[in-house]
Amino acid sequence: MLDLARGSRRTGLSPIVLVLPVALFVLLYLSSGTFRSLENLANVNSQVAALMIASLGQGIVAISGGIDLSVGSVMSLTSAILVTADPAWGVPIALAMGAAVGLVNGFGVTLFKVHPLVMTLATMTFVQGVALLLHPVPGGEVPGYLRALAVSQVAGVPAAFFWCGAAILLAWHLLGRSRFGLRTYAVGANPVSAGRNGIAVTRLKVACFVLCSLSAVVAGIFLTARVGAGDATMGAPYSLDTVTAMALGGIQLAGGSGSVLGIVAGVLTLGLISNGMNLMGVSPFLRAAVTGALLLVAIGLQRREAIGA
Amino acid sequence: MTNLLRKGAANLYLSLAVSLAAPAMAEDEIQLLPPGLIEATSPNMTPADKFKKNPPWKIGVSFVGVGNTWIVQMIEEMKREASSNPNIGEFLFTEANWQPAKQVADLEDLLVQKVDALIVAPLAPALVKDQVAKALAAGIPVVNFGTGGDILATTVEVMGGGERFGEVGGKFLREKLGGKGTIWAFRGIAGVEEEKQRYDGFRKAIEGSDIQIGTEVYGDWNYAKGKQLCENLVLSGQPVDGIWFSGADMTRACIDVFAEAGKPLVPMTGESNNGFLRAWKDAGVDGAAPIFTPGLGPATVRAAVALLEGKSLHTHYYSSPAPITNQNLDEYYRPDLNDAFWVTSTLPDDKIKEMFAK
Repeated sequence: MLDLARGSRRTGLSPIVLVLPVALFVLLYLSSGTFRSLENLANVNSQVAALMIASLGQGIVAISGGIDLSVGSVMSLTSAILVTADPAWGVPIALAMGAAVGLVNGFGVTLFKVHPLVMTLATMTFVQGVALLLHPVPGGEVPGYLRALAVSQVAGVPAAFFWCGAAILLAWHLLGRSRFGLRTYAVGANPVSAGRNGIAVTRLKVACFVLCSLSAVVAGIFLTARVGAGDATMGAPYSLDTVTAMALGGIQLAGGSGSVLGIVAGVLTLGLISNGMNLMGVSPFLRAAVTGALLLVAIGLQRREAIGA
Repeated sequence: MTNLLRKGAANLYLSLAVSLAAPAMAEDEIQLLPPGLIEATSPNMTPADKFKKNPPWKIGVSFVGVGNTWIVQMIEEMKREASSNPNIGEFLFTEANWQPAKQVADLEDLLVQKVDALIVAPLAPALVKDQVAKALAAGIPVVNFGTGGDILATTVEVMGGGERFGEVGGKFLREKLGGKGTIWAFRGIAGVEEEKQRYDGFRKAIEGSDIQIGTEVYGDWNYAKGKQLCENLVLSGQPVDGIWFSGADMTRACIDVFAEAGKPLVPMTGESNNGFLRAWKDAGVDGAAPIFTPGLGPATVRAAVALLEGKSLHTHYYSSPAPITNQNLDEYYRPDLNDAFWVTSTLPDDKIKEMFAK
């Protein structure tokens, strides 16, 4: 009998992590003609791109043993900055803001020993407040070049595909092909042991938070450009959605375990659930319950030690 | 007892009038809701036959989110309106959970399903302009369940609330306080366009007076959060002569807090929710409640149907009925129903009694 819970300790990948999005895809493919259309598949790609980029950043922090709840607020502030700053300076200012938030989170967690949940909850609230102060009413003009980068197509392939591809390749290289990745897994698995073996734990953890915030900025840029307007609450759901994608992707929230493939699978599962429920006309009152039930099933089928217990 | 029957009859009449009057008056001009509940606010008309299509129709709705009893009732009224029309083959309802990205995705998912007409209640006009433009370019009529201003061009706009909603409460408080005093402002969900418009209307109404806004909080239009915030403010001892609310279920929460704290009530504004009307009547507070009817939902369905039938509609409709005051409170309050009911309703009275039984 197939053991859906068995998986690699390092990657957290168990068959259920990969089976779930594939099964959802097949189910929707067979049950809905609309789902099969190229237009819909392109839509799904565009719909998951921001979550994919932000989740890859969240994954780096999660593998290092942390969690970042400020992801959504950073996306929201990015959106507010892009439509209020000079078009030439919007992106650099947003990136600088992201780096600053990441540094604050990182130093708070490492130097001041604040729990990542509490630290990033505090920055989440602060950054959200700044976003609302800066741009209280949705609207504004997104720089034209960003719009083109987010919504154009190349040979029929939506731009979102390239955003996702670039983010996945970068994360895969960082986590799977570089010393940084090796050290991140080591610190997440056992920071004391990693420190004794010469890894600069503080510096590495700070770098993980900075990378996570920067990925949130990029996700915010994509999302704002895709929507075509700024909104100071645009990123709000992404803080928890990225954590949900982690759980679905088999990422061990206690650190030291997880993979880019798992994150991609988790994000695709969430995206397919949302698209599928729209196409199948599931009642709005049932949707949250269905999403929660699927999450429970997915987590329930993972090994207890693999979900951070 | 006689009084109760009189009120019951009045409300029954109101409900029946809302449900029956629209089709009966459809020959000359389409009535989305009875006069007094909604009025055309633009002389411009949509061209006849431009969107005419053979039934059965597929109508898609992108709504902002669920989460309060007004929305639950409005969705029920919309679905009932759609199911009562045999020409509507499919009625696809999506809700964005108050998330801009989800609303964009919902609209994309509706368009890919080739809907014949689209009803959109935007979180903010700017956030959905691309998808609405795409629908219009494809020849799909779009009914805006909201106000688009200069930002969002749609085929027909149907709305209530907004600045006029906030203004009603602001004017009431200005008059009650004689143009001076300190007001607490309970706002809805930060960043939501409708909330901002209501607040702007309130500010406009007190402009030029000596009324100060002592404190301003976001209660998310929610009883629990409103109560917590009101408790904090009451316990802080901050001066207050009147309270402006951005509607929904926050006023009832604050009346409860004042009663629990033994603090004398001050004039408060609310909304046409039976729970608030009950608390208003029980507490004897000085109040005013603009009516934001859930009937707006079915009105948007009627607009979409009229367009698909090839009929001509005004491009803009607005619902701003006379508010509920201490003088006419008894005409609207339904003691036989629970707190979740909102006046006025297009549902038949037996359905109302079934849904909102105590």
